[in-house]
Amino acid sequence: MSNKTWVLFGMIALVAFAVGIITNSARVDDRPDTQSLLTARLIDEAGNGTVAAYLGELTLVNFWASWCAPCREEMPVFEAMYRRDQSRGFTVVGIAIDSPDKTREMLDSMGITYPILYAETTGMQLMENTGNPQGLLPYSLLLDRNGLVLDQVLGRINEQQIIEWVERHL
Amino acid sequence: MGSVLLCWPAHAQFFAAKKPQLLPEHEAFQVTADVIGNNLHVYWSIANDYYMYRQQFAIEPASDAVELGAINFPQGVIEDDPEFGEVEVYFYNAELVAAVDRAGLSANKIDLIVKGQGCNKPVGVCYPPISRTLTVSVDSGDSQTKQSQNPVTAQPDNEKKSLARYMLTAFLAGILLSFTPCVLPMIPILAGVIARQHHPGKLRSGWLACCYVAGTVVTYLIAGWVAGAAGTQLQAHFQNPWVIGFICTLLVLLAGSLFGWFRIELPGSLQAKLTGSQPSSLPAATSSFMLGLISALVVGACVSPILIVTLGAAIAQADPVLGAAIMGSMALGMGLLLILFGFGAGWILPRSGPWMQQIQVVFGFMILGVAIYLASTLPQVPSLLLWAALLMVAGLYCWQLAAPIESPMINSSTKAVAIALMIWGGMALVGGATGGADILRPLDSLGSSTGSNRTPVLPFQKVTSVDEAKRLLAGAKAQNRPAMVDFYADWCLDCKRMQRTTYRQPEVAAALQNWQLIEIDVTDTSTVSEEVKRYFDVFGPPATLFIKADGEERIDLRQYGYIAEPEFLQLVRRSQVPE
Repeated sequence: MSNKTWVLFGMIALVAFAVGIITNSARVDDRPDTQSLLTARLIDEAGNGTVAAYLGELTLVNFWASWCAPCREEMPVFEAMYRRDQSRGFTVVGIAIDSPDKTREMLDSMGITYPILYAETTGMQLMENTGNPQGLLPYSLLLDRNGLVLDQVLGRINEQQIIEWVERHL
Repeated sequence: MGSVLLCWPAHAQFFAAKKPQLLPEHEAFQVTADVIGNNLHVYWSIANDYYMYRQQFAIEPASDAVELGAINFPQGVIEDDPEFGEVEVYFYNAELVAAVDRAGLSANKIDLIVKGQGCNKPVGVCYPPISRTLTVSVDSGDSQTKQSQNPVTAQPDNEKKSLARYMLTAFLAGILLSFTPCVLPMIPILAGVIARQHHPGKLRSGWLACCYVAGTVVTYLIAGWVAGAAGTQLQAHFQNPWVIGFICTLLVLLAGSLFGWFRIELPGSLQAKLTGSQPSSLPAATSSFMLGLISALVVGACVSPILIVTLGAAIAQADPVLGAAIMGSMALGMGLLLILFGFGAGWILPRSGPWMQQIQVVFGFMILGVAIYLASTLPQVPSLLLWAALLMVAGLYCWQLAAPIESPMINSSTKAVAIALMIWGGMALVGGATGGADILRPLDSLGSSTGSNRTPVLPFQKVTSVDEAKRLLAGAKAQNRPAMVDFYADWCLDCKRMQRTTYRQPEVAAALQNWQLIEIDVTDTSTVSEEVKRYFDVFGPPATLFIKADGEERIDLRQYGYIAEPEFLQLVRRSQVPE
């Protein structure tokens, strides 16, 4: 085997390795593509709406469902922060993996005023597209004014976290 | 957009670091069902830290022929829910019982749809509602009689067989090792001892070579014994990314030296010292034995990556005898060449030439394979893609080898091997890019959504403590069901392998249909796991225990280590017939 052949092999191995690392890391923690989330037609108070229509300077998109206890725990926090920082451009959009009849009473009793969109059938697909293939709840995405993802969180979010986001991005 | 691309890796890391470790739904919540008498029992087995809601449970027959009574729920835990007040939830497991009226049923199977919904407590996330279809055989006594009718042929003792297999593998690895630049220097050392004799006959020099090899064997026996005895304490450390990373780096370095990129050798001064300073007062046999003892250590430092891997196998067995046997076999394999040389078979010595180099390169590829296998225990390593790179390069090398071979038969065989390697590598590349992880089934990920449903892992009830295990075993005894206890740990490679292979076979699932399956997770080496190991008198995972329906263990069938499907099925059958 000549030295040249070895150099060739070495380079092939190196390239294959680099390609592997890149495709793999892209697979594991890709920056979610929000296109489908922004443009999906979902049910809202007015009848039809999109996430894009509700985007503020800084938007927290929160997937939830009535059967998800941790979701219900964090929603009052979102409401409080929404009321506090709405004037600075912070907004919250809730996406319910549920139907309006099942959640209306609950939303009323919790006093939720931030916009809620309903995605009973398409919600799982939207979550899968945006980096949550198992459809676990609660799942939240922090979007900038163009709808690009700034942060994503699986599980509960506390007040401190939202204050930090608002201070950093607004 | 450009700035987004530039800062992408930082984001990627940021996201990855924050992603909590969560089980896939079918691992977090496992369900099995049984008909006992006139009752249907649905067992939900819930992973540690996960829970399920009582009010979300439902059982529906898939056909109208069967009618189910109201579900009888066990006592759950009351959780305070901000919206709905107090709700009842279950941790670890929940056994739902419902009366079954199968008057209108002609077949002896019932199809069920079971529903439930659960969450992970510490992370605070919920899984979407679960709906699974189960098939329950109604007359479970029937299937058992069928099993015991199978002829039971004379069994070779499995334990002995696996010991022999480990020893044989280690012996072969030793032979391969003797072709490395690490072991070859032992030959001049030995030659030096023999040369000091006056006119040694072939028998005499062969005897000296044997003494020398015996010395190396003793050193390795001791190392293996210590490693096996240390067992579980050491084994947990082998899951540490730093340890794995360190060993993999050593392996890659050794592979590099075999590829001829640089040389790893004993320092010349050391070689000279070993050859030169003999305590001449000792008889030649003793001195060559002593020399073997010492040079085993020196050479050991050179082949240390392989030694560490072999020691790892010894540690994993957590059995000093087995550990010593493995290491001893390897030393014997390494010594074979020396003994043959001693008896005058000088021709056996590898002459430097292309042949010698090619063996080393092949060995280098194998060592890289071992490195990838070790590294694949870390979830963040893209192991299939590494395999792809390795297989493709090995394939190309193999193709290159074929070029100068004139014999058409050997030439085309070599090329065939080369093509097979490259195709395998290509499949691994595709599988790796689509999220696969198993090199033996690289394309599994392509059909994963249906594939994992078709061959589910067995419905183990996962427990960690003695009390939970005792309770499940008592339950099985009360229902007159046999039980299998499986010791598992996240850091146990063979356990994971069994979950990927044996426990996914439909035949195995069928054979264990009426069994209470208990998986004892000893991932954390805590007092709880020590207690459960002591209670069952088990060294560590993987261990498989078969418990008869009367609650007694078939100690004679107890297994340590990996069990392949055919052996496993035989064990299940044997456990069903009286001793």
